[in-house]
Amino acid sequence: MREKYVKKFSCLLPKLRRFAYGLSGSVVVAEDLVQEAFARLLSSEGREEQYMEKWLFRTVRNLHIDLIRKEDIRDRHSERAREFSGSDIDGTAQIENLITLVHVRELMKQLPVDQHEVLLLIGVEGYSYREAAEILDLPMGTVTSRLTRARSRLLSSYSGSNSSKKMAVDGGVK
Amino acid sequence: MSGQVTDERIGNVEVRLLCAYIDRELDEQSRAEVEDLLRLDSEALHYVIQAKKLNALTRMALDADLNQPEARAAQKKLDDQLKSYQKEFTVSKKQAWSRVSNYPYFAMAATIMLLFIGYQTGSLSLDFEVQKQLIALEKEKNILLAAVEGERNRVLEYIPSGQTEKWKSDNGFLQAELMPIRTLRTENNQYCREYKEVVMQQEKVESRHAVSCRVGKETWRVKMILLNGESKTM
Repeated sequence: MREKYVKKFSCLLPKLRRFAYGLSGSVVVAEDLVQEAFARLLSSEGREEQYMEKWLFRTVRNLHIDLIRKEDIRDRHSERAREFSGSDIDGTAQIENLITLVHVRELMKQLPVDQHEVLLLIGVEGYSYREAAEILDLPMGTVTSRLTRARSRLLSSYSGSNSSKKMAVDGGVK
Repeated sequence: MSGQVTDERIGNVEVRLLCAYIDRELDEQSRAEVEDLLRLDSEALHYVIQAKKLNALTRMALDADLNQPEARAAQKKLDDQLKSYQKEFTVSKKQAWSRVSNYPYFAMAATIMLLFIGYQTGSLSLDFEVQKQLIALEKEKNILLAAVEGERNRVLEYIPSGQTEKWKSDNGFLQAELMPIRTLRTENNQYCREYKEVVMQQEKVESRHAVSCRVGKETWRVKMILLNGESKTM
């Protein structure tokens, strides 16, 4: 039983880490969330294997909500942006990519947590609306309305400022 | 674009519908319908392209960050823990097998099992062999009996009454003595013959006193059995 859990968990680990990191904005906190979920998985005997994936995502998400209640997690998103924006830059294409990624990170942190988690599950991890609703324990209608709001909000910001940022970076390199 | 985006529609298409299209929630027919709309609505098309790009970029951004050395260092503890579990499972599997295979009774039980399987397989093949031989014997007997019948037909057709004809099969397995006793003619002009027959098959002797009638050239059918005896040769 335990061996099965560990094997399946190992397969899901990259997705879980990405989700946890997307939610928390810190690789350290993300790792704590994933580790805690793993520990809970091992201590919970008799859980159905077929529900394990959803259970893990739900656990990570609930742990993250608990964390938000304890501290202001938004500060970490700013730290992360600073942490990774100073990486080595080589060539215009890479600069454009980097700026775009930094830009995306900035956009994502503007979203409320409830919209953010829906977008991560559906847009990034590729879960269906129904699966996301099960993970988040929400009605499907709530999931879809959060998703559309999140997307429209992000896209309005993205399209509005993307061109000006890119031009500024290109100008800076020259 | 920011001024044109509403919660309800992009261009002339509902945002919910566009999202369902982006997230592959629509069936084939609905997808085709949305694609028709997108061909006519550049604003909606732009939304779809940008939303897909944003999904991909978000994923890229997260993966890029998780591949940084700082992230790798944070992940090491859990990765090591998982590796040690995997090792533990592999070792415990090997140990379980070695415990079983080293147990003295295991070898004995395995031997008995193999012998039993061998015996079963052997007896099965033996049974099969016996069956095969029995079928072959039966076949051979039928051939021989057919040969006796052929000989009987020949004797009844050509041999005069009172004369004994001896016959022996090629392999010597079967011998027969046939003697027509008399010839009869029925009311409808059918010829019949009374005869005596002794068939010897190794230790067994079958004797028959019967009447057969002619139904065609060298073809006689038993009409009446007057005496049918069986005895063993000394």
